[in-house]
Amino acid sequence: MKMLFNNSIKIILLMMFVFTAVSVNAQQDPARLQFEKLKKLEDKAVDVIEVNIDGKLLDLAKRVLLKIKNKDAVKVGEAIKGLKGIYVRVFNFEKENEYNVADVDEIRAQLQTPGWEKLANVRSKKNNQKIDVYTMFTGDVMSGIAVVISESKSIALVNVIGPIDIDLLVELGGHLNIPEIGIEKENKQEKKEKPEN
Amino acid sequence: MNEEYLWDKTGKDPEIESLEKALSAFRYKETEPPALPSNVIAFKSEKKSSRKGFLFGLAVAACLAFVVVALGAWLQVSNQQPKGEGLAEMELIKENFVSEDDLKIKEDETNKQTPIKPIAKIRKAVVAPLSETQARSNKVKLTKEEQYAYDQLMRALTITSSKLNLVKKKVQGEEEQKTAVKEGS
Repeated sequence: MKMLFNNSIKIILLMMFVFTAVSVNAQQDPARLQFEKLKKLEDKAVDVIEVNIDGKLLDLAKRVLLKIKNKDAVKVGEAIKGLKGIYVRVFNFEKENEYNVADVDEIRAQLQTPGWEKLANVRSKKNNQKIDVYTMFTGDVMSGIAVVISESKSIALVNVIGPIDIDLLVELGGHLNIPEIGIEKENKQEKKEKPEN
Repeated sequence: MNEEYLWDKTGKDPEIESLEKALSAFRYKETEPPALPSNVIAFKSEKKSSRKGFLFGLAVAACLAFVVVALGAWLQVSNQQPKGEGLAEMELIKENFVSEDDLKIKEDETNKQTPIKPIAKIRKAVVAPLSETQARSNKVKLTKEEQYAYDQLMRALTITSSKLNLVKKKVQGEEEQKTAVKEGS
């Protein structure tokens, strides 16, 4: 009885240790950006897109891709094979400067921590557009991508955790019926702008 | 039998006396109280019980901590993976934001036979309809969870891809501008 009691304690303690270690490890992914402070923008924005895919959900999606016997699905499956998660936040506002720039700057400040490397940044006076793309590498393997796009009426944040082929990801737009949204949007806007000028 | 002898030992009663002699070996003799064995120490047993109590307390605390951590993890996971609500919300997005007036997906040549739902408002039209078109054509049967997971992945990939495309286009545009300026000067 005493032995059983002692063994149960040992097992419980071991399980606790493993569980805590796993959860702490999962939470402390260095490439993961903290978007929590942007929660307050949800009330101000007219459109909010929040996508979180990781863990079991991502594994399930990967399994679905394996089920689909399609050339493009195989391509996507290959591109996201080592992926650990994708976190997306998009906020669209009705009026200009409806959000506090400091909130986005706080996200940009997270990209100044060691490990992140600047891949591209664009500053445009038109729409007060600021684009930042950062990557993180663990050795030679990419462990994260962060895209921060802020305009006068919108904010878009993308955080990809794990290795992924950026070129292939860019290429994915237009494949598997994924529309090249950004480009289409830009073209449409340009078309609209031309007659006005 | 002399009762006096039995009562207060006065007089004589040879019968009783002979019995007394015979049983004298078992007569009570007052001696020193027996010493306790040296290994029996009172506080040791006390310590044992307190140790037992400590272990029991530790086990209870461990169980409680485990339950709390498990509950927290479960809540976190359930928050990240909305099932019923998420599906309903996604269906709403699909229904509400797909209209004829807005952008249409470029039809993949391989999928011309299967009509593709037009994608409406750009920011919302990110649910790739592969599961409805290609998946159907390939006769892939998905459960609700699989469908949800797949759509979430496609949604995330679509936005990521579109944003990276936007960056690529911007960077290329800037480079072209720079070269044009250089050539002009």
